[in-house]
Amino acid sequence: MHHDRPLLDRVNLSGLILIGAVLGCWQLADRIGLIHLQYVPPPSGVAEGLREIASSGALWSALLHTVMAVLVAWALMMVVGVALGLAIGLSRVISTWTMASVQLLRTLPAIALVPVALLTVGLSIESEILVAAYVGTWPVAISTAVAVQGAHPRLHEVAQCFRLSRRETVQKLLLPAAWPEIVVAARLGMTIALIVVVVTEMIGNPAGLGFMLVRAEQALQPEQMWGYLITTGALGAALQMVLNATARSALPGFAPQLTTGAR
Amino acid sequence: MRLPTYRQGSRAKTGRRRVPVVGLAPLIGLLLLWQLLGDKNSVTFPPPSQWWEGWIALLHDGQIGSSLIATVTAFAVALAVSTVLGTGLGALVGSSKAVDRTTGPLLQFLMNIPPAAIVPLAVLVIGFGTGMQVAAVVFGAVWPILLNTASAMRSVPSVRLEAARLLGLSRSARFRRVVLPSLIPGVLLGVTVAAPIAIVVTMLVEMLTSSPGLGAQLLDAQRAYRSGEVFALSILAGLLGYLVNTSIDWLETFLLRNWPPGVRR
Repeated sequence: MHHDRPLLDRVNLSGLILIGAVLGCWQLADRIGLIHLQYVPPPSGVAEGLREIASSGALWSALLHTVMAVLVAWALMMVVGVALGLAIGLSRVISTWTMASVQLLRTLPAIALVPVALLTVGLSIESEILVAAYVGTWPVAISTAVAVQGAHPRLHEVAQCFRLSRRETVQKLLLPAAWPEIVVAARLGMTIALIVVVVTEMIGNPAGLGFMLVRAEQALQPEQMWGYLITTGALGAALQMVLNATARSALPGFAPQLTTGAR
Repeated sequence: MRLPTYRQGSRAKTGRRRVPVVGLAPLIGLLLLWQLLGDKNSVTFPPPSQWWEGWIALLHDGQIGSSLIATVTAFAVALAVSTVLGTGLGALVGSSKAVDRTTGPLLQFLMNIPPAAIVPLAVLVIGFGTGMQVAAVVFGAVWPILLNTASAMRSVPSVRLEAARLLGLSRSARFRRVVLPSLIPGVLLGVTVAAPIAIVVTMLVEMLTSSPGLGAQLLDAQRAYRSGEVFALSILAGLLGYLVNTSIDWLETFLLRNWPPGVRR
């Protein structure tokens, strides 16, 4: 029996009020001259800036560039990461002979790799994708490996009972058992991909949201800069939402675990 | 057929156990191969010997010491500020459901802004300098600490709080001697996640504003195509990250030395 909670209950009223209050104070403080920080335009100014870059088309091409880089990097890190994770998780030999390298390689700060990628691959979208995929592969691989290794022994007994081949065991039992961890790693990977792509655009590749952000800053155009900033934040939130929705619909049985990643 | 041993499921963190050293073999093999097959004069793929040359060049140049100190100082200060701020705010958010709900949407929005994107904003609003660098890093690094502290705050066992009350502890004593120590594992977990973010943003600020530090030197070397130095500096940055992680691990071991073993994450 379902009671539909009253709308007032479901909508986070106090939360909305807080955000409204912050925006209101910001606008008011500027209006009465309390803050005249040159580079903190009031919300109205930010809206104007957004309108400018949106209508000139600059926003959309930058957005498209960044989104493409993020999605390709994410796909790459998931494919390589899960494959590597499966290999490490399923084979003691591989695990022994590769884990130390994986642990070492993942501690390299992403930021230090950006100049390396710019040097080797040049100033292009490939360098963004390469660094982002590199940084994101390790958490995905490790999460997958841990999840596969931690699968309940009873699953292996079931596989034995049904005389499943190794491949079938992985495909039908072990991999599905790892889905919650893989989804959590996928979310983390998406965040990593966005950050690394934006950073690479800020430092090297002259294209995408990161580059436009820095360019607006150097040209002392705060409204536009804020516009790009908000777009980047919104992009991050949107990507996460899409990922969550896809995961929930693709794996309906795992819904409660997917939000916390706990078993 | 032997049944595989049941490890602690998703709670097993591979980093906590000793990892077999032979695992370094693929990496060492790769480096050897690179050295043997690589072209010494290649600008884009310098073999490891060139990295050593680059390192020597950096030492001769003399700047590396001050750069390292600048980066480490900024990073340490920023991480400390993030920890204090994150713990305070996190305890506040976690202590009351109402506060949690009210601040939820605002915090969600703020924490989803990629920390890197804040840097140009900080440069404009605060201006060049270490203060701006610290502010930018704090903005990026405070969230993991805040979230983990709030979560820890919510899960302080009520048994502990009741026992404290039964023992007649005052409110402040209760907070100081029961609640605050209970938060330590959560805070440390947050710091572990926040430290790499702090390193990245610290070096990013240096790269974008050419302020003294490892980041600025790295970018310089890349732009001048001094590839050996680029690789040498990247490895140095990696070592720095590794040292930071190890230090946090030691700190955790020290702080939780009297705790029952199951508590460690």
